[in-house]
Amino acid sequence: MTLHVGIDVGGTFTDAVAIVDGRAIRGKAFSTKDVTTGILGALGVLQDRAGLTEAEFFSAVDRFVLGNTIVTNAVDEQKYAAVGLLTTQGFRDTLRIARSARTDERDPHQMTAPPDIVERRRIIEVPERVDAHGTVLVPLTGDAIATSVDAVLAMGAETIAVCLLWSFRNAAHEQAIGDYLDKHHPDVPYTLSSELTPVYREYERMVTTALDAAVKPIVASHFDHLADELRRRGLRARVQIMQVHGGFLSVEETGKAPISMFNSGPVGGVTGARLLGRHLGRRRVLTADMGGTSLDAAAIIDDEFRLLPRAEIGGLPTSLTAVDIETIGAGGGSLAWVDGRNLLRVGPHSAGSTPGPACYGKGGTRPAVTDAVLVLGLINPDYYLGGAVPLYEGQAREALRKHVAEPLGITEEAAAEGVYRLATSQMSNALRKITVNRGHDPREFTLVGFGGACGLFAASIAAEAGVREVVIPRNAAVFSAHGLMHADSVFSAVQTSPWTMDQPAATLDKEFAALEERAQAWFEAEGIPEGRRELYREADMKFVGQIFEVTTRLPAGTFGEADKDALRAQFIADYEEEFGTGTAWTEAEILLVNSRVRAVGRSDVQTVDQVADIGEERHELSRREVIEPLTGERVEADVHRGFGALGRANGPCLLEEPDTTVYVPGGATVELTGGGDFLLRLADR
Amino acid sequence: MTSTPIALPDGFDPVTLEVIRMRLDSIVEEMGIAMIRSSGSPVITEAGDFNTALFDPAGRIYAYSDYVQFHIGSGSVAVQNLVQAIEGETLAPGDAFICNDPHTAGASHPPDTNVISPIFHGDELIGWAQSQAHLIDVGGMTPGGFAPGAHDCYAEALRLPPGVKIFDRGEPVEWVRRILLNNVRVPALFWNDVRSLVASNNTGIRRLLGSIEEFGLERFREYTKLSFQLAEQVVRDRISRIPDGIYHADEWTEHNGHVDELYRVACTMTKRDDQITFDFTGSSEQTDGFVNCSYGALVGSVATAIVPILAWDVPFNEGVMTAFDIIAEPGSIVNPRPPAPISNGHLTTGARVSRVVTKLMNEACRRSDDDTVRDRTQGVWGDSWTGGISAGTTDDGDYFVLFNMDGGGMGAGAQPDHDGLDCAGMMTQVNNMLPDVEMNEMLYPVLYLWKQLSTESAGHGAHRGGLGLRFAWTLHGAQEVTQTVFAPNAQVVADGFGGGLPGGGSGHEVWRRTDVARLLADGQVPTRDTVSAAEQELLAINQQSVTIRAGDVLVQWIAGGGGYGDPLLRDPQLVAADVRDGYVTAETAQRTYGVIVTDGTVDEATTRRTRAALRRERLGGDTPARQVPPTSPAGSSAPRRDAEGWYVPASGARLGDGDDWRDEARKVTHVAAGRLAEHGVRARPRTEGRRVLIDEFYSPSCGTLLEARVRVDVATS
Repeated sequence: MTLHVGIDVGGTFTDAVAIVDGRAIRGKAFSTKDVTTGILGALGVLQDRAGLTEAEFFSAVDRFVLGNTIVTNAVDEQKYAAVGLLTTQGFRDTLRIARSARTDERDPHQMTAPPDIVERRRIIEVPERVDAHGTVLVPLTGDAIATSVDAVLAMGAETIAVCLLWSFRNAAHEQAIGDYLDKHHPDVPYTLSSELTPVYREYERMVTTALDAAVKPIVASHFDHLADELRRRGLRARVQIMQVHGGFLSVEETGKAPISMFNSGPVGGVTGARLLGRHLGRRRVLTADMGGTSLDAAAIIDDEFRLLPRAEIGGLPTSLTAVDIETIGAGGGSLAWVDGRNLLRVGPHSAGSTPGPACYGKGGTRPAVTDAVLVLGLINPDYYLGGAVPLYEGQAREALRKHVAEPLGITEEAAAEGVYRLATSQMSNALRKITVNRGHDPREFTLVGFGGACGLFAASIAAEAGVREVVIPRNAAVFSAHGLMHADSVFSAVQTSPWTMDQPAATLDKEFAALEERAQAWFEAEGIPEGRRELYREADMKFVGQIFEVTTRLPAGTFGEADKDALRAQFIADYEEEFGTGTAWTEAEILLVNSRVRAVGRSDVQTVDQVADIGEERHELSRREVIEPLTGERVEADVHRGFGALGRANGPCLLEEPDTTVYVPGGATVELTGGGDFLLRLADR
Repeated sequence: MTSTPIALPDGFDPVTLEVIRMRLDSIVEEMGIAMIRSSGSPVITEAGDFNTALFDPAGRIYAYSDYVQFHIGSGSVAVQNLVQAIEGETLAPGDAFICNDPHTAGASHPPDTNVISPIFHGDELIGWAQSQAHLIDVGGMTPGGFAPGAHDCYAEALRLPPGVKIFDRGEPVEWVRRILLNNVRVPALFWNDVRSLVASNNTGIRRLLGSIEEFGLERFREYTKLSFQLAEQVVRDRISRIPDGIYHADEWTEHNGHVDELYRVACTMTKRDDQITFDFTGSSEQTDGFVNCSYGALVGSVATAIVPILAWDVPFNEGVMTAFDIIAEPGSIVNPRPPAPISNGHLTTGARVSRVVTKLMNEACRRSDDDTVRDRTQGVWGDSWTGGISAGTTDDGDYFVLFNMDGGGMGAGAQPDHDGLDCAGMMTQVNNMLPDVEMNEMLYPVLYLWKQLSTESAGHGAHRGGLGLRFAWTLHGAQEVTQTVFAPNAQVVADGFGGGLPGGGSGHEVWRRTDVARLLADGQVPTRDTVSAAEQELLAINQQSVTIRAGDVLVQWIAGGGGYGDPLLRDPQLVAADVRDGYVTAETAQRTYGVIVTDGTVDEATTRRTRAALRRERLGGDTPARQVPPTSPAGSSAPRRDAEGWYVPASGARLGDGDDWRDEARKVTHVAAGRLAEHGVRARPRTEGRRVLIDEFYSPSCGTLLEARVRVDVATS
C-alpha cells in the first residue's frame, strides 16, 4: 500500500487529503490554536474513511506534507518571542528608519512607523566593521561578543538575531557570535543573517533575520509537540513542511529557518494547479484562489511558476524568494460601500468570518460580495457548502438596499449586479498584471479557479481578462492540501558574490561548486534518491548601473570560458522577456550579483485513478431564475446536481456541487474532464 | 464627514464609471512599474523620483501615479505647453518629445526630464502619455543638475524647451540624441533612462488603446469627463465645510546659493463658498540664485499640500485641482522669468509653498465645526530636501556621481492622532525610499560611520513630530571628491500646531583631517563621540565645490517635523517609552514634558509636581486659575471657537470673542535657535540680518501652551 497525505491548516478548517493506492480520500476538522489537535482530528477522519486502524494508517504513510499558518499567524498578530538583535555599531536604528516607511499612502493620518519586531532596548550595537569588499576594518573581539550577548540577554531576549553590515561578504564576525552562543548559551535559539539569507541590502536582511529569530521558539514548540504526537501514533515518514518558495523541506530543516514557511498555504494551490495543468496537457495556467478577504493569482508557464525575490511579509520587505502570487483585496467577504463621490466601491475592507456577510445572519449588516451573488440568484441559500451553512437572502437584500441601492438610487438587483461587476473587474486586473503586463497573451492560458466562491466568478473574471478556458476542480475546497502533497522537495542556497565577464569563469564556477556541495549534503540528509535529484544553477544579474536584478539560469555542469557568451545571450533574452524587446542595455557591462543553486527532489506523484463518488452520482435538473451578472438580464437557468452523471451542458447554467457552485454564463459550455473536474469553454468576445 | 449625495446624470452607469477609473489608475501604475524595472538610476528605482500620467488632448489629467506629487503641476504644464508649441506640426504614432526647461516646459527643475508621447486611435489624437523622471545628470556647471553657484538658468543645465522630438515613429532622432549625449556627463545612463521613459509611455499607450477598444471611444470620453466632475464635487463639498474667510501666512526660503539671505513666500488664502484662492502676491522678487520656484513647481507644491488635507481618499484627476486658483506675480520668486536660475526652486521655495499652504489650511480647518475637517490640522513637515552630491574618481579610475538619496530623511509633522512618521521624506515624496548603507557602499567609494535617527530633530508636543536622519561618511576607495550640499531648512524650521513646538533644522559639516584611520587601526568603530578632527567646518546652507579628501568626514543631519499640542499634554507613558528607546533624553523629558523618568518608568507624583511647576513658570510664577485634567487629549490645547468666542478645550478657559484669540494670550518671544536648544532641538543660529524668532502664546488662566510660531523679524538686529 502507498499512502500519501497532504494537510493544509487554514484559519477556520484543517483540510486533509490522502491518496491510498490511487484512491483519494478527504477529511476536514476545525483548526485549533495549538495546530496539532486540528491536524490529528483531520487525520482521524482520513483514517476512518480509509477503513484502517490508527497503527495501520500511520505506519503506512510514506509521504506527509504539511502547509500551516503558525508563522503567518504570528506575523499577522505580531506575536513574537522576545527577540534581541545584534548589529554593527552606528546602525542601531536600521529597522526603525525602515528605509523610510512612507509607502504610497496619501492620508497623513495613516502614515505610521512599521510595527516593531524587536523592542529598541533589545537592539545592541557590536563594535565591528567589515567593508564592501569583505575586508575587516574593525575586528570583533571575544570580549566584545561576550559583553554584547550578556547585554542583550540582560534585556530579556529569549532568542537572538544577528545582522552585521556586509556579513554576506565575510561571515566571520557573525559566525564567531554563533560559536559563542553555541558554547555558552546552547539553549538560546539564534539566527545569523549570513546563514539565513547571505544577500545584500541590510534592511531586508535584518527584517528577515529578526522575523526568523522572533518566530523560532514559537515554531519549535509547535513542531516538537506535533512530531511527538505523530511518532507516538506510529508515523515513520518524514514530516515535510511547505515553504513559501513552492517546495517543501523537512521539519528539521524548516526549524532552522522557520520564516520561510510564511504564507505557504496559497502555494499549495499553485502547485495543485500546476499538477492539474500537467494532467490536462496545458502549458500555460493561471490560478485564482478566492478566499474570504482576498484573491491570490499566479501564472504557471511551461510547468514552472515564477519566483519573486524580495518578497513582502506582513507589509515588510524581506530578502526571501517566494512564489510570485499577486494578491488583491477582493474576496467573498469584501464589503461594498459608497464613497465620497457617491460611487460604488468594493473592498479592501472585509466582513471577515465574523460577523461575515449579512446573509450569514451572524450580525453582519454591511453588504459583502457573497450577499450580492445570493441576491443575483447564483447561490442556493439552502445548499451553500453543501447545505452546511444556511444563508438568509432577506438580510442580504436589506444590507444592499440600505448601503448601496438607496444611496445610489438603484434597485437591489442592480446594486448586486454592480458589486459583482466591480469585484470581477478588480480580480481580472490581477490576472492582467501577471499576463499582459509581462508580455503574455491571456488567450493562451487556462484559468484554474478554486477556494470559496471562485466557481461563481471564474468564468466572468476569465471573460474580462481575455482568458477562454476555465477549470474548476471538483475538490475545490481541499485543492491546496491536494496540491501541496504533490509539491517537490526544494532547497536553495544563495550567495552574493559579484562577478563580471572579465573575471575568470573558474571563479564563478568555484562559487557554484561550493553551493552545489551544500545542495548535495542536503539531498543526502533528506534521503532523496539519486534518480529524483535535480540541480539548477541560477544567477541574479543586471546591467552595471541598474539596481534590480533579473534571474537567469546557467547551463548545468562546469562553467567555462566558452560559456560566457551563452550566459550573456541568455541574460539578455531573459531581460527582454521581462521588460520587452529592445530594452536591454546592450552597451553596458553585465554584473552577476547573486549565485544560487536550487536543488529539487522530484515528487513521485501518485495519480488518482478513482474519482470519488462519480460512479454513484445521479443527475438532477431544476430551473431557477437568475440575473446574468454581466448583462443584467433575468434568465431562467438550468441548475444541475450530480453533473458527473450528465457530463456536458450549455450555459447559462449552474452546477451545484457539495463543495462549490459553478456559474456557466450564456454562450459557454461545460464538460467533465477525465479527472472529474469541470472544464468551461467561453465564447469568443 | 457625511457627503452630500451627488447624483449621476441619466444614462450613466456608476459601475462602468468606476471600472474605467480603476483601469486608468492601473495603467499609470503599470507605466511606473515599467519605468522602475527598466531603469538603472537609483533616483528612479530607489527614491521613486518620477511620475507617470495620462492626459486628454488638451492636457487635462486623466490619471496620475502617486510617486512624487508636485509633478502633478509640472506634468500638466509640460503637456499644455507642448500642445501650444507644436501646433500645426504633423504627429504620428511612435513620436515622443523630450523637455526639461522649468521656464518654458513646466519642469520642477532641469533634471526632471519629461518624455511625452501622443496617443492615436486610428488617425485621431486622443491623448498624451507622459513620463517624467529625475535623470542623474543633465549637463550644466555642476554634476547632478543642482547648481548653487549659478547666477542664471543658462549655467544650470542643457535647456530643452517644449517640442523637441526625440523619437520619430518609434525610431530615435539621431541628431537630437547626439546633441543631448554630447552635453551630459554620463551619456550612457542618460540614454538608458530616456529609453525607460519611452518604454513607460509605450506601456501606457498600449493599455489605454486596449481599454478604449473595450469600452468604445465615445463612452470612454463621456465617462472620464464625468469622473473629473465627481472628483471636483467632493473637493468642493469639503471646502464648503470650512468657514469663509481670508487668511495670511508666510514662510521663508533660506540662502539663495550665494548669500545667506531670507526670501519671503507670502500667501493670502481666500476661501469663499466652495472655492479657494491662493494669492502669492507679496512674495520676494526673483533672485539670482537657484531657489526660484517655477510656475509648474508652484502648482505642484500647492497640490502636494492640498491633496492629503482635502482629497486624501479621492482618485486623483484634473477635477481635484479645479476648486483652487493660484495667483503669482511674474518675476517673483514663485513665478520667475528667465534668466532666473531655478535648479533647486522646487525643493526650497516649493517646499515653503507646501508649508505655507499647510499653515493656512491649519488656520482655516481649526475654525470648522466639522470634526473631520478640524482633524486635518497637523504639525508642519520638515521639508525641504537636504542634498548631498559627490563627484569624483575612484582609486580604480572610474568617474562617479553619488546623488545621495539619504537626503529624504526628514520627519513628518505630528498628526492629531499620532506622532509624525520618522524619516518620512518631503510631503510630496509619496513612496519615498532611502538607500541601504550596503547599496551606497557597494556603488560608491564611501564608508558610513553612522546612520541613525537624530534625537535633536523632532518638534516636541502632545504628539511628537517625526524624527529626521543623521549620518556621516568618509571616503573609502577614493582620494577626493567635489561635494555639493544644501540644507535649506536650517534656520526657519517647521512650526508645530496647537502648542506643539517647532522641529529642528537640517545641516552639514565637514570634519577635516580626522583620526578615523587611527581609530580603525586601533580596532575602534569611529562614532560621533570618539572621532576627533583638526577642524569641524560648518558649511554654508547651500554650497558647491567643497573638496572632501580621504580622512575627512561629511556629517549631515536632517530636519524633523513640528509637534501637535502642548508637550505637557503628552501621555507620560509615551514620554517614558521615548526615553527608554533613546528618542528623547531624560533632560528633555523633564524640561519640556515635565515627566520624570526613573529606571525607565514614570515617577507619577514628581511628574505631577513638575508639570504644575512648568505651568507656573509659563505664567511668570503665578498659579494658574484653571486646572487642566491630566488626561486631556492631544488637540485640546488648540484654541477653538464656539458661539461665545474662543476657548481652550483642555481647561475651558476663555480667550475672548475677537477675530484672533492670540490678542488675549500671554505672548513670549525668544530667538528661535536659542529657545529650541533649551528643548534639546537643533536649529542653525543666524549671525546677521533678519532674526528668526519664536512667539509662544500661553493661556493666562491655565498656563497651556496654545501655539509656538516661528517668525522672521522684519527689522534687522
